[in-house]
Amino acid sequence: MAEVRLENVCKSFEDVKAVDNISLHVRDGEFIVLLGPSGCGKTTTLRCVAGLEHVDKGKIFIDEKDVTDLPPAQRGLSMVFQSYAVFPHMTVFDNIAFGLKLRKTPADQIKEKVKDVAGLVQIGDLIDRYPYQLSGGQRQRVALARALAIDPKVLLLDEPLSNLDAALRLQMRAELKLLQRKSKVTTLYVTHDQVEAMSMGDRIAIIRNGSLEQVDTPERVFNHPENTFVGNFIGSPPMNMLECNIVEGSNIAIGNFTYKLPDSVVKAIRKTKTSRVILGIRPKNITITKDRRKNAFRAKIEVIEPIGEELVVHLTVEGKLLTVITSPTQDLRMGEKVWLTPDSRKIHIFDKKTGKNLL
Amino acid sequence: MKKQIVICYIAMVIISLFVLVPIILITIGTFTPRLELYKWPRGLIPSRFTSDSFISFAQSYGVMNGLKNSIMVAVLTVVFSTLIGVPAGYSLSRFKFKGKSLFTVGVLTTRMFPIAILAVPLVKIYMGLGIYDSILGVAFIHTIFAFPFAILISHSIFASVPGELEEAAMVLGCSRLGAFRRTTLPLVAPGIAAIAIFAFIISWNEVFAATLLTLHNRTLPALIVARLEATTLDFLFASAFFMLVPCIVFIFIIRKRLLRMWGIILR
Amino acid sequence: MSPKRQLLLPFFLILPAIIFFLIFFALPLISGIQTAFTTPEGQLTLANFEKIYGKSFIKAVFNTLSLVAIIIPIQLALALVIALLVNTRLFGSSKFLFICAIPIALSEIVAGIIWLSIFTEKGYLNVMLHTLGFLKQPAIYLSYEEPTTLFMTIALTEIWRATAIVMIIIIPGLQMIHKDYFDTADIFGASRLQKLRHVTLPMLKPTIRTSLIIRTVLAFQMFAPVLVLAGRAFPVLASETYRIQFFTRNIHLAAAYALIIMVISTAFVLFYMRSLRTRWSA
Repeated sequence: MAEVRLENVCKSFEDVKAVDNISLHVRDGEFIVLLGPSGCGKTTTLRCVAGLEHVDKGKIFIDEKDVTDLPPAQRGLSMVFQSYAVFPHMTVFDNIAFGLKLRKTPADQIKEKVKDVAGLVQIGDLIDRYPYQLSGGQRQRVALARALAIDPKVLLLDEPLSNLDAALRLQMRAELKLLQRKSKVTTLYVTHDQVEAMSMGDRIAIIRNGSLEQVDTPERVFNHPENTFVGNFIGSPPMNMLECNIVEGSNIAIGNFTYKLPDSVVKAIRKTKTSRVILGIRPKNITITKDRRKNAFRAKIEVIEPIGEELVVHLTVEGKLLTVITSPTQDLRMGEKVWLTPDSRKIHIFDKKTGKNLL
Repeated sequence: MKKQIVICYIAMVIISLFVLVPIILITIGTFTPRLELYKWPRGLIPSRFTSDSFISFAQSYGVMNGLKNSIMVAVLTVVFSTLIGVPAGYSLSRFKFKGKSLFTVGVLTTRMFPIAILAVPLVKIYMGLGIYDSILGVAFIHTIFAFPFAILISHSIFASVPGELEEAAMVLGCSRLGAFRRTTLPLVAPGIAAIAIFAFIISWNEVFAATLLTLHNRTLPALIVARLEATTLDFLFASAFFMLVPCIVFIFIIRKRLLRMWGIILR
Repeated sequence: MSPKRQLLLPFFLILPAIIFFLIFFALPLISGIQTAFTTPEGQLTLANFEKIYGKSFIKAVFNTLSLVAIIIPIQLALALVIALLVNTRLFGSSKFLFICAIPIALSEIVAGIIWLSIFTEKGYLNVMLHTLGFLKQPAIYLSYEEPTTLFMTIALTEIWRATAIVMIIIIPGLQMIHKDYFDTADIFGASRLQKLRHVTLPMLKPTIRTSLIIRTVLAFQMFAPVLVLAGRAFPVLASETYRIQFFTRNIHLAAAYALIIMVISTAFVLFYMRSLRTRWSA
């Protein structure tokens, strides 16, 4: 149980800036997710916190103690790797006891602790087995138990679920979250899967090309993305991004159509000098109607994907692609021309050049 | 941390010297005049360097012949082990078939038996076939040593070239052989060349079987063994130098590929 | 190509190897075993073994086993040290690797002669000792009157020559151990020595097993260095086999010797395979 603080951490490999001036404050007991596409630097950031990579610049604090120059074992943390790295030549018991043995814990205490922790992750009956006798999911639990056995102040997890099949992943997501709630250990979790991030994190830190794009709760990241990257990355299918122009300060021109912006939006964008913007709206926040509504614009249905509980409709508006999710009860045909009405409360306006959310 | 790095470097230097100094010494010895080799006391560096030992070795009775035989045996070994090993390696990498693991195990077991148990009976067999004391006979047993390497290494070389390339070529109209020739062969050619060089070196260096299976048509190593008791140091030194120079040169040329062949990742 | 030929193609490709294996491996092996148990007249007998049993046979067995017992552990340790050094990826470690690999390109006889040039009476060892002032008269190392020094020179030559063979098997094995295992050990605070003991060596076991098998089989074939350095003063199994074949021309005796080499060598191989067995695979 400890706070983790990164201050202006930089780490480069050869000429590539893997971690570019990241500052982050993780609260005591928080479950924070480092989210981003492959190669964005999230794993490197985690490894810097772990002490497996030496930072080029900046500092790392755990529990207000400067650990920047300390080796991993002296930082009071523990880590689970994507490959689990469960030692194949040791039994489950010996694996879990590994950290304790290195700390010269007396044998009876080791036995107790291993039993406890194994029970916590539900592998109590597998203690005497060898890893080659276990499934992938069981091995992952061994890695988890091993990490928890030393009562770390901070737990680091590097994409622990990516090697599991979909069903197991779902189950482990819930179990991990529950485990963290119970043990209250500060957790840093790396993933590229935004659904995982949204479902597990108290807060999400979105990283792109080595820098932080936004650090917020899942709700805020979803409803108030700070830029086009975040808006696009979070949510599946991704947020629609329409390039358009602001006309007369309060309207958006989409081809031949004019969409009147709500007053709150007009007020917020009044300060911007640019008129070239991107309109962001999520697929679920657009309504499709056959008849014209107020403030609607015309679109042509290109592709319809009936995916069971929903209908995913791909349309073109003045040559630009849009995705809308609607109920399957709507009777729609490919090639049909319909009217789209965005929910004015859920619109985002991004500066076209900087990508920043102007609201 | 710094101290540990210094220790590592010291260890590397010591071990490197252990490997290199003897080779340097034999080089000096080869070019030391014969009389000085037998003088006492004598210095490390001779009073003058001479190529006399080397030349008299080359002109010694049987040496040129031995050289010729060694080269011919080695070339034959290369040809045989490549012809046998490369198709087999290709087959292992591209196809799944029954008995595949049995075959691989069989290939590997040839390495687990000492040469003696093969060379001795072959004396009798070769005599029966009329190829005792022949280049062909020695080449055959050298091939037994070399072809497992050829198979295993060509297997991994072919495995690193995706079979999809050939399949794409076949879809576009090539026969299997044509597809192989056009797509895979250019990519594996350097690797196969390395196998060839390695087989050459194995054959060139082999002593026991060559000694046992030849009488008049000796290879160089067999010649040296036969002359061991009755010859002088300068002859021996020159012969060793003569044998090691081409090998070291070859291995230097293909060094990066050789290490990759053995699966060693460099940096 | 017709479908049937298509199916047979993989077998065609390995056919030359199989034929070659049968003619030049299986056939000599069986013939050799048979020859060892027959007299020149063709009767089954154990007489060949009785005939070769004697003082030089016992000496040869003892010498060979002693050499194997000393050389192989040293080579294994040295190869491990080299592998760990190369793995540090320090500047110059790849050049170091090339240097250590040079002996693979050298013939046993070349190695024997190289170390002859060092240990012979007026060889470089004595020259160096004399230049440094430790000796006035040359010391004799390679004589049958000095069996221990003879043993050590042969051992040193073999260690110099063949450690590279063990090394090129161990290094890829070491490199294949996933970095995550070492990172895990770091996270839990393992020292360098502890990492070696708990991670590196146990996970290297299959590789060590392979290298021991290959090296031991080759060690029982030790021939040229012994001949060059010791001649008949230090008989080993392979040199005795050669001597019997060449001087008695009795192939049955030679075959008996060869069979014994094979049996001892195979016993070691089986021993390694059982005792270093791992149930897991990397």
